[in-house]
Amino acid sequence: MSKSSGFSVLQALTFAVLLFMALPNLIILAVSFNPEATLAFPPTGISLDWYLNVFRTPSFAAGLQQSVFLASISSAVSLVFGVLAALAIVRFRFFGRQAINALVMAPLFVPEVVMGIAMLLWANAVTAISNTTTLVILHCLIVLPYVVRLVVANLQGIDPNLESAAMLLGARPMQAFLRITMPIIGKGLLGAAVFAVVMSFHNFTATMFLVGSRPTLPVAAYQYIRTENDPTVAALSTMMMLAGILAVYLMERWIGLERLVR
Amino acid sequence: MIARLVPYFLVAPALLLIAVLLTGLSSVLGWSFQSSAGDGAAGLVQYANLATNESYRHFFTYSLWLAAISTFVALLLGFPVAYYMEINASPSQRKWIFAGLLAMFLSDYVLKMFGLILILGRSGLVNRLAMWLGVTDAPFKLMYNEFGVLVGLVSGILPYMILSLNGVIARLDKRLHEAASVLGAPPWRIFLLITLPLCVPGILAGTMLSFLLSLNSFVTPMLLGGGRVDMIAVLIFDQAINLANLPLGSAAAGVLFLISGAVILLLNGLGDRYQKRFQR
Repeated sequence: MSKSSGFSVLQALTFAVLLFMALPNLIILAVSFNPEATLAFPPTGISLDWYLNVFRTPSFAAGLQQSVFLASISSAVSLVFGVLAALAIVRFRFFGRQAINALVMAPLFVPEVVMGIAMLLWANAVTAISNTTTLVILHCLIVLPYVVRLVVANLQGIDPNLESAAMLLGARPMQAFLRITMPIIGKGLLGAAVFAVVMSFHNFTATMFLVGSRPTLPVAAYQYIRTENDPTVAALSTMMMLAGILAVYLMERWIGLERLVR
Repeated sequence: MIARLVPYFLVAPALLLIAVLLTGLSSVLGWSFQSSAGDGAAGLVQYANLATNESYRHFFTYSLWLAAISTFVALLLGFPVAYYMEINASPSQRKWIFAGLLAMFLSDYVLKMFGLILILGRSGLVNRLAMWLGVTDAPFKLMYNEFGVLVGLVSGILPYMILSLNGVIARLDKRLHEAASVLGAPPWRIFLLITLPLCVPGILAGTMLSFLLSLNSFVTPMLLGGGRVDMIAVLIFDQAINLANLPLGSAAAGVLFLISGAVILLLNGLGDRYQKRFQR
């Protein structure tokens, strides 16, 4: 076997697989401009009507509002909780450290449906709690492990002697943390926040157990796909894809993409 | 004394959150021992029901089967991509593929399945193309069945599989290949005896992640299976939400949790043994 033929077969295979992965997105993009009220491909012309229709569909507006609310609250809360936990895990040696580290990562190992039903039963038992509060807790649980992992990786990369030096020169511990460590890990925190927002925004399965009468945006899209048959969801998807590309760009700038998956 | 408590104060909020999850999980366990009629504890009735009722059992065996097939296909399709991007691609090509994979990893799952509906549906891309080419007169049935669900599962797990594989492939020592090649080994032997064994940790990691994601999949069987393809998550959702049979739903969730745990332990154990064997 010559080296060049092996190379081209591999290349062809790679691009076929990448095309298979990208094709759904490309079709969505094409269909979103279809002037007719069908999901047929190829489109018969170009129109932006469905983009306007996204904003005229009440369930999408309500869904967007609910999703933005959940994503911002839960990523803010889990960022604060996550940074505190990560500080303890990286900077201190204490009894039960390994066990606590494992516990914080636990939500990653619970299947999403199980997490959904668990939170549903928890909310039933607590009774005096609104659906939205339970959803906030659920989303915090879902993003917490990712935040802790990213922040731990960030903190491990900096020299604790910097803080010690600041304290030696008279800074109080809190001051040393806020003035020295925070600026260094700041970008990493921003990246973690974007990642948390994305994970919360797209969560579907566990959320589905708790949405009740206030669907999030993915749930509203899901319900629309199951009942309607026009390109409005394609237009919505295209807009969400643009937001996704922006998120990837921001994370590349703030934490580096390789850091995210290792 | 107080200084020694500082780390515990720092982790307390996160642990409080985890405690909520643990409470929820224990109520799942508690509910699974109740009777469906709601008249109190019933021991293992729900579990017995799941084990003996043919149609319930099918949800579990069929999900495991679909997860296994989709993971295997994703491994076959993902390996060349991971290999190409780490070994053959130029740095800028690699960066673009990587960014694309991450964009897919982060894109909305529901919308990805919607895109597949546009490809596989009655008047979707594939059927339009097939009819235009004159391959068929009547549209193929490509979704609301096993095939559609498998395509959806593979498409969902591929980014995870590739991102698990490319780490080990990037760390391959090229000198080993050169040595084998100088000693006269044909490329297929180099691949089977050197490349593949060195990639086993990544293959195990990708397999674990993909298998669990497929096994727990809910959106794919609902949208591409039309709710007619028996997967565990659909059973749990139907029982817990649509039929308000929390005890049976909880028992099914308990079994799914156990299966997932077993898969994690099994594949992690295999990985550890493998590493020990080669790190002497």
